[in-house]
Amino acid sequence: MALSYYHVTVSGAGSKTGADWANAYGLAEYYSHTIAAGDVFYFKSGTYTLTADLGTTTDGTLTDPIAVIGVKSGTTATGNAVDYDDFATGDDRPYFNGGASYDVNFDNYAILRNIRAESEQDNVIRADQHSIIENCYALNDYSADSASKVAIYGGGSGNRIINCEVESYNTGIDMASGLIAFCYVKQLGTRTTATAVILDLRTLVFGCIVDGYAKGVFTTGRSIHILQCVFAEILNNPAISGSGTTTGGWSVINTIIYSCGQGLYWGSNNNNIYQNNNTFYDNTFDFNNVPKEGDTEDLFCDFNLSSADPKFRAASSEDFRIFNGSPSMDTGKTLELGIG
Amino acid sequence: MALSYHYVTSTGAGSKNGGSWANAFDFAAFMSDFATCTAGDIYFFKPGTYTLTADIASVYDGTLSDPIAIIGVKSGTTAQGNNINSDDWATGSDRPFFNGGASYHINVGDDYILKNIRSESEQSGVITIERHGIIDNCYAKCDDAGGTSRYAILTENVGCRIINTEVESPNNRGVALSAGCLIHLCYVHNVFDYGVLMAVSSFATFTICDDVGTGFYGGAVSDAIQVINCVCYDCTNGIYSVAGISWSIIGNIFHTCVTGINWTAASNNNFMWRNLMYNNTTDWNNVPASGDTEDIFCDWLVLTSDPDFVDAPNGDFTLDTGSPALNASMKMVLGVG
Repeated sequence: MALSYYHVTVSGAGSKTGADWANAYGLAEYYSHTIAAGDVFYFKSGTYTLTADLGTTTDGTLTDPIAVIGVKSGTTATGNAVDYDDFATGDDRPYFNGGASYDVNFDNYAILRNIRAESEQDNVIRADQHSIIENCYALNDYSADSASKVAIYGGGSGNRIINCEVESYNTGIDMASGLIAFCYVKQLGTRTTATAVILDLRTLVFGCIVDGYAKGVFTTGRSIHILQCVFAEILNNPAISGSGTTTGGWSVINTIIYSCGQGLYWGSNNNNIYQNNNTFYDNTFDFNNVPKEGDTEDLFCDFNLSSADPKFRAASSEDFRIFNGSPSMDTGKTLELGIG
Repeated sequence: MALSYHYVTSTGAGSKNGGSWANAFDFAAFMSDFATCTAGDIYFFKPGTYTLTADIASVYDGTLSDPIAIIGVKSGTTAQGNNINSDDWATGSDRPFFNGGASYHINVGDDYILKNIRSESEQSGVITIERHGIIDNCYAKCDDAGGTSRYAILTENVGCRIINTEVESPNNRGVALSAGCLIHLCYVHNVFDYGVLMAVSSFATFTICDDVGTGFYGGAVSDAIQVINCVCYDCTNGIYSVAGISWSIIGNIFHTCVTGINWTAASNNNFMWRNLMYNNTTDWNNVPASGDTEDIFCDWLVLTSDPDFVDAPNGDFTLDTGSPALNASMKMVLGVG
């Protein structure tokens, strides 16, 4: 393993070699750097106005990823002395403004952490297979209709989009396969066909909140597992939907679908979705073409379905925490000795 | 959709045509019917021991709309057809028991659903399913005495879900997952070799591996595997990967293992977060730990306190009320993500 560390501030410092904070790269010096596997860039807080894509077509490797990591404004540690205590959060994360023309765009084996980015480009933050996008914020502010305008794009297999906040007038996250965990995805504007999360196949969506989108999770692929998520106010189209004959092997477990137009919605009959311990509350329609109790084929329905108000703290102001007294507290399916 | 319901008891009843509980198939009549079952055939089994004299197998597949199902129901069940619901489902030792002995097992095709059954066999794949299968609330034990490579549960194609199921395999392996498969809320214990073989893009959540050779094993091509909120207790390796790529290992507990997370070659590509390492001989191998030269990619929020299981030696991994692992896994934090 051979990691090389570079330090970047908005305007740079000293000799601008990137070797430490006293000689930090400015954005111009970062652009002049030929990126190689193992390069780790620490970006300090501030607004970086992009004049080209922030990224590379060079791949990292399993041992030597290419990393962009936002650190706190007061960070003094350098190189491998930088640790979690230095990681930037909230508005202290470096902010990459791509405007109409540029974005954050990496290929395979990239690790992008603790950054914010805004752009009108197709993919505000993009990484290809085997990459990690964590603790990031991405805003696609292209306000006209275009499904190709995506806030975070994970191409290829094995991407992990974790602990990220996503806002977009169009598509929120477009993912080939991998993991989306603990993400908050919110639509801007009133476009009635925008989709929060588009998946190809083989993806685990875990602990995410999709809020105020026209359409929630959509795929034409198989092997999608949605666990412990919240879909709120998905008004125009289904919260969770699949289309086509290849959408087998789904699981929807411990998930809350709240004040949506349509809940779990399939284009054709599907008794193959494993459903358990979900909550459907205040939706216009809960199910379409998937079994519910009372149907002729309800043998494959969610027999532990709840229709009680989960009592979020303040859904209207985006606080979806449940608290003591919520009927959804500690009511997910649990492993019981002697049952399984 | 066109589901057809059939009823089976160990001795059968009435005319034994399977059309109702009053005319339930006996096992021989079931085997004859099942061999030519078609999409939408649902078989309800009452408790009892069913001794296999051939594989439970069919050349036919189910479909997404019309799966083929074997479902164990309680001994006192009187409901029939679509009036059967989860209140009728068998649990524990009330589930029907399929004894395959040395030679036979359950080996079904695509789009099968197996619920509330127990099965034991010396064959590999005591319960074997194909594409889009579901195994829920089952028990499977491979009791082959020799070798190490037989599985209690075998998924032979994509998109299977193994849920709420108990697995034993004292001389062999537990569960083999294919691509896109999920193992969720399972108890895998008393397993000599791999607890769960993870294929490319497979997922493990809320599953316990107890007294297992390797809890979660990734072979030579074991990319894009997610292991979240699981427990590896008393394992030689909690997770072992042959240089696997793109794993996420989040919120798991590795307790009393020889090695917690073990990679055969160095990797900085795994996302590891909020795991608990306690009483392992070695916590990490070939993945970064805090203090390593490349620790920028380590698990910065690893916990090291006793998770305080209620009674782990006796299989109760409930977190006690004061456990430091309670509510300590990764979660969404306002203003952070």
